[in-house]
Amino acid sequence: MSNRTQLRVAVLLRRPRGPSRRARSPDLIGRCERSALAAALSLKLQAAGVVTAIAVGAPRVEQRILELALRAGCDRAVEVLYPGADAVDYLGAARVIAAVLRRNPVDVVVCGARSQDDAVGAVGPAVAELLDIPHLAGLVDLEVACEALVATQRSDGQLHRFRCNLPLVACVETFDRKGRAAPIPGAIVESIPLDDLDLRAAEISVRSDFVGAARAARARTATIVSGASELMSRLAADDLLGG
Amino acid sequence: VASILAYVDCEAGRPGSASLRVLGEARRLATRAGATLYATALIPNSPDASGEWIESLGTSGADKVVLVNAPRFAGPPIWSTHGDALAAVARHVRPLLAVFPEGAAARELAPRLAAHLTGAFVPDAEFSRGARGQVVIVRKVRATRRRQRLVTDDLGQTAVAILPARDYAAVRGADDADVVFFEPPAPRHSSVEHLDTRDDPGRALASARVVVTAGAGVESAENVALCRALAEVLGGELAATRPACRRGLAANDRVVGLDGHRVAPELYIACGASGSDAHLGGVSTDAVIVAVNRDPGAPIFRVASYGIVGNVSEVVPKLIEAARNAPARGEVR
Repeated sequence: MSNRTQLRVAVLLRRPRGPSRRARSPDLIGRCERSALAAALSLKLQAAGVVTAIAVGAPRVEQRILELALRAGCDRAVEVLYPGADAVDYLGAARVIAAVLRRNPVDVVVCGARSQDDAVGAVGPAVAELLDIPHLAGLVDLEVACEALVATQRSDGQLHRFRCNLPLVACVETFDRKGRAAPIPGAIVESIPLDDLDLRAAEISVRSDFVGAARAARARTATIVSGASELMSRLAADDLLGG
Repeated sequence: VASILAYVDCEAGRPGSASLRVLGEARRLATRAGATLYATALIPNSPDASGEWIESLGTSGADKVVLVNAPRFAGPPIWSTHGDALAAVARHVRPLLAVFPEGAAARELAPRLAAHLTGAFVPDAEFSRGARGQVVIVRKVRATRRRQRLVTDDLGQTAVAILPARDYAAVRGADDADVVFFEPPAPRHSSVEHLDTRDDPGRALASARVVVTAGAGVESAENVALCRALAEVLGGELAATRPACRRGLAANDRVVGLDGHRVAPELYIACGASGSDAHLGGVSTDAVIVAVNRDPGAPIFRVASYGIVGNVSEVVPKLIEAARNAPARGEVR
């Protein structure tokens, strides 16, 4: 960052999918994406940075979440138009995002740790691998410190702090700092057709063999018990009470 | 000969119990697939001081124990310090499958190893046998109530899987595993420096056997206190959902969910929680869930094992009383 006046931040966003691939989730933004957006905007506030929100999806699918990002204070929003995005696995998605970031290099890539639908939480680390830069997962705080970041990671009952020189992919689990900035007047969502990214077809071909076939699990309904005593009897029978 | 790589998470210089349990599950898989099982441990101390637990990896099922030794492995397991060594071992072993015990190391290392090997990545995995006797990896997804199947024989490339740290049946191995010492490559990314470590205020949640969670539907601090009392009488911990915290009913460091703590209790009692994907995404798919909610149509009743329809303020005091009178573990009357 030494020769730049602004910290360049990219935040990866994705509208949560519904319980089936065709159904839209009622949520415009998921918990992890909300945390990622807050973290990215916090970095903007701390370091007078520039934040670009990036999403990959079929036309119009990601438009609203990117508009939300602009209203929250992101400087740019880029939508990569990729009709097959829902059918690729984490690595296919990461290859598209890495191609965008190679054209528009940044200092920090912020993403959510794991989306609330059935995403696997691997896109951030995969982007880091493709860009050959470090990543940290499970982050709960990011703080600008001189020309680096101090990142706090929650890890099996402990909080680790790391000093990170840039660039870095930061996978944010939760974020409690203020993360909202003034909207940039006139900012609109920019669209990039997938063909503009010079990706080879094999890199983003639908890796369905890798994703595996998904099927609905058997529907279940809780056994409704009549009262506290019956519940405790059942839990005791299941050997779930006592130390 | 096919091979399976099992990552061994070391706690205080010894293999963690979750690693040994997952190693046993990997042993069963290796036997079924006719594969060689490599237990891989990245250790900061001299291998000479590790003889006892190296033997334990053999008795837990490993055919070969790969030891990689470097001082930097004393810090938290992050890709910048551990990744290059792990990737080098994986390139050497060329595993059909790499398995990790659920935990921070898996979250940090497993997805990037999968990307490094251009392989599939399967968290929350369990194994089953396919119709042709082949290995099938099944991913349980509670949030959308779906399961994904992935047949390793059909892939021809590596899959990286994270296994829940459940009590898999113990395996008795040959206890004469070959030990392979592997020279770690120099780390490619030295730009991440560990500064310090402190306890997470909510750390007790991570190991709690019982968790009682207050959702936004508990509505008052008095009802949260009832949930806390229930947790105490059951020997468990109090947690909260994010919406409950937003309403000021609990502290942020008690949040369970995708944006909070991941918990893996045996028993999870959700009081006044609707059962959103974002909340239940933080609860192990192995946990037995009990739901207390006044809305019989609440989504949580579709994932819970047991449910009580009623107000928290009326139901929880009765649960506390019943729990005090309930038989202890192994004393079912």
